[in-house]
Amino acid sequence: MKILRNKTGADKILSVYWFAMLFVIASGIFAIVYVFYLHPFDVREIETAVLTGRIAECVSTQGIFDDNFLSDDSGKNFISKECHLNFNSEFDKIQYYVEIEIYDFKAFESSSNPMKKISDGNENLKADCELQKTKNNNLKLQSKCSEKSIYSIDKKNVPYIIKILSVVRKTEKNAV
Amino acid sequence: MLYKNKNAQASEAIVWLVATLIIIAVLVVSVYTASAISKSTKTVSSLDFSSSMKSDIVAKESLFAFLLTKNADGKNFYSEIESSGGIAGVAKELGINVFNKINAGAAEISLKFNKNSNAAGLIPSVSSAVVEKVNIDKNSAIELTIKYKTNGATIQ
Repeated sequence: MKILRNKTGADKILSVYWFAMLFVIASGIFAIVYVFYLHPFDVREIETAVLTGRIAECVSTQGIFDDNFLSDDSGKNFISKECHLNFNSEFDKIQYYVEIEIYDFKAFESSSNPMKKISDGNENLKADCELQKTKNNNLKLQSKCSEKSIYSIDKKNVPYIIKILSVVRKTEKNAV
Repeated sequence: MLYKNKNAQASEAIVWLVATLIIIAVLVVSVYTASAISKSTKTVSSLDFSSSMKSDIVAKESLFAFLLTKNADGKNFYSEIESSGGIAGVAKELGINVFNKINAGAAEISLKFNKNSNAAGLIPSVSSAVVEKVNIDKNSAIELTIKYKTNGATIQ
């Protein structure tokens, strides 16, 4: 290193150093902010809970079961039509799957067969839920599932148990 | 400032070098921490909201259905509880049966009849639980307290 013989030379070197440090610190702050916001918020669990709640309200309004769900007309797309759900999204393939199983309350056991089973959406997503149940793991790239049961009675006071399964994929928007 | 000898120059340079290294180290640690925090905090679970929202549509629907269920006399349990002033007999049995069946293994449940519902003591001891309440009259209410258990990836 050269011997600095005057103030001007030392100040010039220092100012270059200050600019370099300014650049390093600015880059560091940029990197911190970028890294923090790089990962998206994964709101799929909330989305499944909201979807389940919406279907629960539709199947059982104020505790009274909607008989339409037991009718023979309840075929494909019945849930989305009956509950006014729109499964379209920014993705080409459907990112949702919902399934309703209706059980007779008195005969209900966890292993018993449902009186009626209705589903809507992308059926392929259901496999992710099965995998999560058996492996008990939390793979980020899998769809998120929510399964809840409700108790409801019809107008004739006949009790039912209704299992609602909601699945949301949207992996690319939430976990990648 | 004039530097008269090499020793002074060297010590000054070391100070700047150390300062630079400290700044870079702090920045690297900050970037790593931001990354770690970002990964861990960006999964929003419904459990995060349950305690603050204190609402569960699924549980509320079940509670309504239970109170509307009629007993052998054709009187619904809401009226029965209102007139008797408590949950007992068939109503209690059915209540336990219903909420055990629909939440088997997935949640801790308690169904209570509380007199003097305005008392502060009604808030359940489980702070993260969801409480659904149906008022029977001015001073009493039926409370359904649900605490969901996490099961890996899913909340069931």
